[in-house]
Amino acid sequence: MSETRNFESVNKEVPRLESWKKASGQAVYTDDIRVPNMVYAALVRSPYSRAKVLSIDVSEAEKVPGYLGCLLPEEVPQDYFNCSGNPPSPLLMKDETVLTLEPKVLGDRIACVAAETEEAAREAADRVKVEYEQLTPYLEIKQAMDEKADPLQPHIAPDNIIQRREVSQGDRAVGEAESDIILEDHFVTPPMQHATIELTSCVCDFSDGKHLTVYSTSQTVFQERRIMAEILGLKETDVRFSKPMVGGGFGARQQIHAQHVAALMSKKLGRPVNLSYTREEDLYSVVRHGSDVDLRIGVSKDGKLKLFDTTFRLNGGPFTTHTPTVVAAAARKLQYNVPNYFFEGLSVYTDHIIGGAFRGYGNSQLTFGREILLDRLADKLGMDPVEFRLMNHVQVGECFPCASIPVSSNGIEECARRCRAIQAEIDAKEPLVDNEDIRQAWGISFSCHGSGPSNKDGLSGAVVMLNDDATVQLLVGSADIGQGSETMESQIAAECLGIPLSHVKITAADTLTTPYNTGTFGSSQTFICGNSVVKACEDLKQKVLAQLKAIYPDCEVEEKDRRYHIHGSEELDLSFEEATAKIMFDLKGGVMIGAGTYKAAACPNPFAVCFVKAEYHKKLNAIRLLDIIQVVDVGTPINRMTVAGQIEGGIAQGVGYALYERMEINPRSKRTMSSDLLHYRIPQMDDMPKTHVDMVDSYDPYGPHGAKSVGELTTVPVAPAIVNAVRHASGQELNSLPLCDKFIILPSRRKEEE
Amino acid sequence: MVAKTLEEILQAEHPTYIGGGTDIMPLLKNHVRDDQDLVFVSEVPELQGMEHKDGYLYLGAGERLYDISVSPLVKEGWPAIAQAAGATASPQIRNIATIGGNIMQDRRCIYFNQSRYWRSGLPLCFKTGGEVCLQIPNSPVCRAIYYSDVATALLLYEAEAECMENGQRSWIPVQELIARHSQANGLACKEHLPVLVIRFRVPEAPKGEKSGFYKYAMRATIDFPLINFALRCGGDRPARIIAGAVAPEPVVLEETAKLLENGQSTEEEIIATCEAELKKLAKPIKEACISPGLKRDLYRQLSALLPLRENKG
Amino acid sequence: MEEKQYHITIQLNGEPRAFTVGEQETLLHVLREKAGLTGAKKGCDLGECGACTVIMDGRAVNSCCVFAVSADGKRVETIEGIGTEEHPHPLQQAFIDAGAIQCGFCTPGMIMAAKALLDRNPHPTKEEVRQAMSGNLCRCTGYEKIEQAIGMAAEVVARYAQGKGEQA
Repeated sequence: MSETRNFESVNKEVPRLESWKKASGQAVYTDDIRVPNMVYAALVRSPYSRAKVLSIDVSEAEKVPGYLGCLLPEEVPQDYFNCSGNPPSPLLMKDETVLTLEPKVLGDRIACVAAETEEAAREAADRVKVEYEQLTPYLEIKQAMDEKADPLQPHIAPDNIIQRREVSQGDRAVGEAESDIILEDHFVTPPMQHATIELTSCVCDFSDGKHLTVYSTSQTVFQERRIMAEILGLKETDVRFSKPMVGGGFGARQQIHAQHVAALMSKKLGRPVNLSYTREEDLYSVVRHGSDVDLRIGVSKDGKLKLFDTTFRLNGGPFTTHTPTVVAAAARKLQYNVPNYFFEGLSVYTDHIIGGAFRGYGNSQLTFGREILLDRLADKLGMDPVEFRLMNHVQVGECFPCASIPVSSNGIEECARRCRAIQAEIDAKEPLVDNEDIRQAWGISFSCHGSGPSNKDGLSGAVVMLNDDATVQLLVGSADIGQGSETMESQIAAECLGIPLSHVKITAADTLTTPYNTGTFGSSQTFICGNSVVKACEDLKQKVLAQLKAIYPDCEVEEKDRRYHIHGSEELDLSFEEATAKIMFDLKGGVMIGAGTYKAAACPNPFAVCFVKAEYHKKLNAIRLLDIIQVVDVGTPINRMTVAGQIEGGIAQGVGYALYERMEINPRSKRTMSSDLLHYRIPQMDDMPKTHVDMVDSYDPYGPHGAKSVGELTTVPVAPAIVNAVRHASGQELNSLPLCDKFIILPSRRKEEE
Repeated sequence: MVAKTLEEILQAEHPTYIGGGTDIMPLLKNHVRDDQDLVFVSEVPELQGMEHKDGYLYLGAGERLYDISVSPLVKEGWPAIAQAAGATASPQIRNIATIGGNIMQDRRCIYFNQSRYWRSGLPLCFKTGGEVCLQIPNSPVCRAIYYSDVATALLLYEAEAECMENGQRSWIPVQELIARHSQANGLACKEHLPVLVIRFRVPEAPKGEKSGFYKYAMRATIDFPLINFALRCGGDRPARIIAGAVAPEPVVLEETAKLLENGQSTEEEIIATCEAELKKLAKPIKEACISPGLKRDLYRQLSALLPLRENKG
Repeated sequence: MEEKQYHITIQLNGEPRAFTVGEQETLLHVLREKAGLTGAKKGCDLGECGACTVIMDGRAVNSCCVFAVSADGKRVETIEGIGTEEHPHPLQQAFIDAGAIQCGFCTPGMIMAAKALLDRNPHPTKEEVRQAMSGNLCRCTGYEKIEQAIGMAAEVVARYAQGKGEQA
């Protein structure tokens, strides 16, 4: 279902507004900030996954030239908190402390030192002598769930199960009885690290001990302000989070990192503190949850899904952070009609690297196994894999299993058709090869996501201030982390007001001056913040209208198609600019400020279809990716350039996830092998297969100008589509990632195209 | 010290010779090495130059990998060297890394190439001044692997290196240089080999000989090889195959090379012999992201160079 | 811990600049901390990501792996020096127009690596572009639009080289 709309600012290709700053090196990221009197801090971290600290000796560190001081565990607030940048929730248990004497994970914060230079701070941190008593860490879910295992957070979970979530509809016995074929398997996906190119960093000024200013790589400035205010015992008005340019997030920055330590060090020294991670620290800071999933799907012989039954276990690490909300989000992302649906989700404490928010937020892990099993079922049924999925797909007006809000727009069939068309073009140029050396094959996957957090936590405010020349200042709390939200929100405002994009000046994500926004996660900003921008602009227009009525009290005043018509003692047909001039400088003038707030009442689902062409080298046991197609239904694409970029970027992350990304912990040394970007490999330009992306015409009634989200959707279908292609090409059944465990990976190294 | 002449280099007391510096820089940052007397040598005239003279290719140790990889002279006469230089590391590193520095690179191991923080709480190993190998607990020596791509190509052509040691200059086979370097490099870096490599000389290939180099890594660039091969055949000298990134030195696959000579062996037979020979000669250790079984699958990738056998034009 | 200090002079974006540097200090550190040029970024500090790429004597290098002392007397170009808002370098304009910039953190390194390529080879094939650029990691874009942007810029650069001026 689509609508033809004449858009002026949206549904266009628009380079990001801050592009020149970024292209010229002028964009200021957190570690580029130079504040007078600034010093540098470095953390002393546990090299063990689980231990007790017996003693801390800073005497050698004190000898480093430039050393200024240290923070020890007994000097900092002792209360537990939850670092995740989500609104407060009973699911988000508090079990983390600022510093600890009982490290439960590699990299856990023991102490902090500060010095005049970063090099001196790191040298000092390395020289702090900490004596540890090593304990046996539980790195795997099985180990942590063993009945003899010690509870890692006794005040939360005696059995290391943070939370169980059960979501179901229907009857298992009925589902089994009605299924002619039931397939099941055990799927394992690894912890994946975000590997943002920018390193996690903060500059905190708490010099007077009363007012805190934080510049940091943040996705969720308002949540982080709230958490910091609680930890430090301050009012939120005395804490300011101001987000500089951010070099990517993908969920890694949807939480507090070390801002609390940096702030406390700043208070102790009376100077601003820069605390920036090394790449190694960044790699250990947070990962996408590794998953351990049992999945059964039953289908009748005419291809109807009858049963979906899963036990979904996430390896949470020793702190709750996001884990239960990731599990909850995964529970309601099944886009197919299944009358008998059983989801049992387990959030498990372990000593593994902390599982947190990562693009997909549970959807990646469950879609992985599900799309592979659906593929196997299609094979068994002798059905085309696309048709099999389409015939079971939820339609507009229907609900996902166990969801309460019906699907409001759905372009999946269009997406599949478009993928098929592109596939046909590719195969026409290069037909599938199957000879004694190589077999090529296609694999597919469907995916969906939400727009905004699926528990409808999303909340945003926006303010639009009108200047006398009819330019506007737009204030929003949303954090642009590179996904282009500031540009999109400006486009939305320009479209609403009927003014050129260049007449909108946006300020965002500064808790001192911009209104609240839940945060950049859950693919929220276009939908949640975008809707609040629409409301603020509508409010502004109403106020403009009201003010004109006050100025022309004996006339009829109406607004139509962004022009203001005055009938009566005067006949005027005013543009927005002309109306503004009248309002600002008339005797009966006023200051026009539009305000809007939007609380998510809906979470419209975007959809994607992904096709992958891969080849298997029979004599070498090697695989190579040739083409990836992804077509999305995101409602109205506010910025077509941004949407295409999100698909392409999401594909690249999916390629890495499928092929070689894993936080690998070596069992013997219990150290991670993934300590730098040479060992934690992410795809390079020449590793990428040919990529073909497109977006279908669609419109969602709930979205700003019809838009749905795109940010997370695009990475979810990629790994299962790759695995489905590889299983067809190699003839091997696969149920885990990364594929470099089973195959030699050949870089794509595309040859010159015509 | 940035040396401009050989004499200046001789004055340093306990020098560490630096070409581009790209190999040692991460090691210094990670504090696995603490060299105090850095001597930058790549501007010394004797270490420059690429020329074909008196039946040899002369390559100054200070020549950059990028320049070697694009040199028509090297590509034409000694293709494996150009290919290996062009396959090393990333474009940025090739732009300043030198061939001398590449040959004298540190052996690598996942227990060694880590930050001071990562290594804390583990015993010191042979390479960091201790008495044990963390990879193979009862090994009497360091088991770190030598990963140079260019070395494999130089050994293919039986190159020699002119070295300065104790003020004396002499030519030694590159194979011997690497053997000595590898042994010294398996001990704490205080013991590093006080040898300055000045230049290499590589004999001409006979008419009709075909040669080439192949590197496997998981990604298109930057990654160290997980295996590399160099192969020559045809012409009137014996065929030769070298494999690298499988042991503390590159290994010579003598049995497999013999099969190349008889002109009758099938590809399957050659690959099978290669696999068997590498199983004997390789000294595998735990590497990131690849299992031992898949590492052995890599032995079959010698097949990438077997098309060189065909006599075409 | 007292490091030897050296005095070096670099031709930085066309101007001679003098610095006092430690023996093991990197060129990246000199640029960011002493020259006030924070365009080159620290993404890993080990030469594995390319975010610190600058051009030294015409070659793209990872400035985090260059000893500052070995940059003495050399020409160094950084992102700050290649164009202005009124007269951007064709690569800067192309990156903007093609949508090749998302979070922007890899962008300075990407542009400098691409500039080194185009300065040396104004007509690169797509393969040559990918080979030259694979030392620069990006986590946002999937590289598609970056590759397109470099192609677009190459056309402009080629037109300049042929004396065809600014208009197509």
